[in-house]
Amino acid sequence: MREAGFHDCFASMLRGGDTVTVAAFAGGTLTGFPVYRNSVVRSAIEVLGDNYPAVRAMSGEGNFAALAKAYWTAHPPRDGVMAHYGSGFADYIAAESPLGMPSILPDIARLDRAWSEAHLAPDSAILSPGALAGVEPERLADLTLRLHPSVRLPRSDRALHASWAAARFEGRMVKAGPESGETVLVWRPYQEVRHRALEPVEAALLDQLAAGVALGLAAERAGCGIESFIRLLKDGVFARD
Amino acid sequence: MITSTRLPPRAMGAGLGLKPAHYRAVLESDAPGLWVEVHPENYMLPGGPRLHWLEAIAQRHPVSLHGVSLSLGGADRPDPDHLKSLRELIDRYRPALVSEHLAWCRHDGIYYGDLLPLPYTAGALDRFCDHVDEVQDALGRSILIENPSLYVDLKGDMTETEFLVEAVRRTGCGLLLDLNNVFVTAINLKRDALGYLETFPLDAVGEIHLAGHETDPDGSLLIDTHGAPVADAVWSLYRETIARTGPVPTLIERDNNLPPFVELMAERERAQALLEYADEAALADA
Repeated sequence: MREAGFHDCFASMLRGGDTVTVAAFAGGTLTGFPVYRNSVVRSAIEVLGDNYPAVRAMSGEGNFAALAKAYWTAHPPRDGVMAHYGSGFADYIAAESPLGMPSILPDIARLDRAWSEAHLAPDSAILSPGALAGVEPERLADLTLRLHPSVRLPRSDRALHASWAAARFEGRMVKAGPESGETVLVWRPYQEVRHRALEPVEAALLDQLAAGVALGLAAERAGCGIESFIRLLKDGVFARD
Repeated sequence: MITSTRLPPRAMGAGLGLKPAHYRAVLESDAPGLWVEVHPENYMLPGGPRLHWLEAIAQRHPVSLHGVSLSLGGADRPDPDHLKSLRELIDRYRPALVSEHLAWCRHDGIYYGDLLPLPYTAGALDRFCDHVDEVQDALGRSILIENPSLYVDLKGDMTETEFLVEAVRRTGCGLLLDLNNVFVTAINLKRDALGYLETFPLDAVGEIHLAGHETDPDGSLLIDTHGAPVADAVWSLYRETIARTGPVPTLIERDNNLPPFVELMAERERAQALLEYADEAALADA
């Protein structure tokens, strides 16, 4: 068969090989082949940039394109569902620590990824404050609660929420906060993704609840009062069932 | 002036590629003949707003699923997991049309994100038809196959239209005639667009695509970017085509440099008016 080896040769050209590899299959000039190669790389860069807008904004277009191309070379997509592409991008940036890039970039990538995961998570009804109205006050402490499936709790050594949000939604650079550590709540209670930096006691409470600890003990261990729980409940971070 | 009202509101006249920026505007539009097309790959998701919007829009307007990643022209068989996800979307949204490409995009487990050309050989035809059969069996329906835009000429045993005629005959698939691709390929490979249409099996056409193209930076090739309005030359091919076929569901495909919704709708209205005219002409002939 004349096309034997065609796909291997073409794919190798797409992955950076010379157009000579496909010359045997060409019925005319080779000038059009690089169009495919360029378009494959460009679309991978675009998709990754769409999935990581804050990383793109903080890196600058040129730096981001180089980083995204290197990532594509190491980790090309495996299927056509592009919303999932780049799930390992934060770890890749952390491992490669590209020259001239801000050191907070891996954590910024984790925040972008958390946004995507919350956006695409399965739908689930939230536990409304009203649903707890019938619970006897003395039984509240025994409740175990399930986090809404969209809840993500990315953590970083520095306070990055404000910098991330400004870069992602406004393309504006805001200096990273103090090195005090921060947990961000990213979730989608209805059809819109929300995000806010958590108080340390709120983060501790959610960790306990996520581990299946009953509300009373969870609050005690987290060192928080009922008002922290009420605020999270009103935010819609718990699943109804 | 008399406007035709023969095409009922849910009939597929001229449609638009559905973009998240236009979800609400599309949902609220009651333009006669309007329908929408999406890439199913963008909706193979566990949950979230995209699915909600599509669900709501599908209640109001016909939907077409236009796949880009089945890689029917590839060496590998279609991915069974992908086919399962596609079947689930079909069962959920009941699309009026389902289509794919005469192209490949996946090889050895890597997805390339572009519609790549294949040599039109007897062996490639056999494999392509096997893949189409497999997809149609898995989906429980026939699909439309779109002609590609080409930037290179590959050695083969037959022309593209001969390849498509044979694929239709063997698999019972229909065709999606992309007139911008016809134009782009004709310019790039120095062929004749009208000559191509002369040999194209128009009876099998279930959908037409119209889109814009741009010239590549060194000016030697036209690139099918879907980033510009439909070119005048492509509108001419469209008038020629529907004069022969009568009205066929037609899509304005715009993926890049997305204009405001009203601008896109104005371009759609132009196709809709030509379709209504073709409908009148067909009735007058009958």
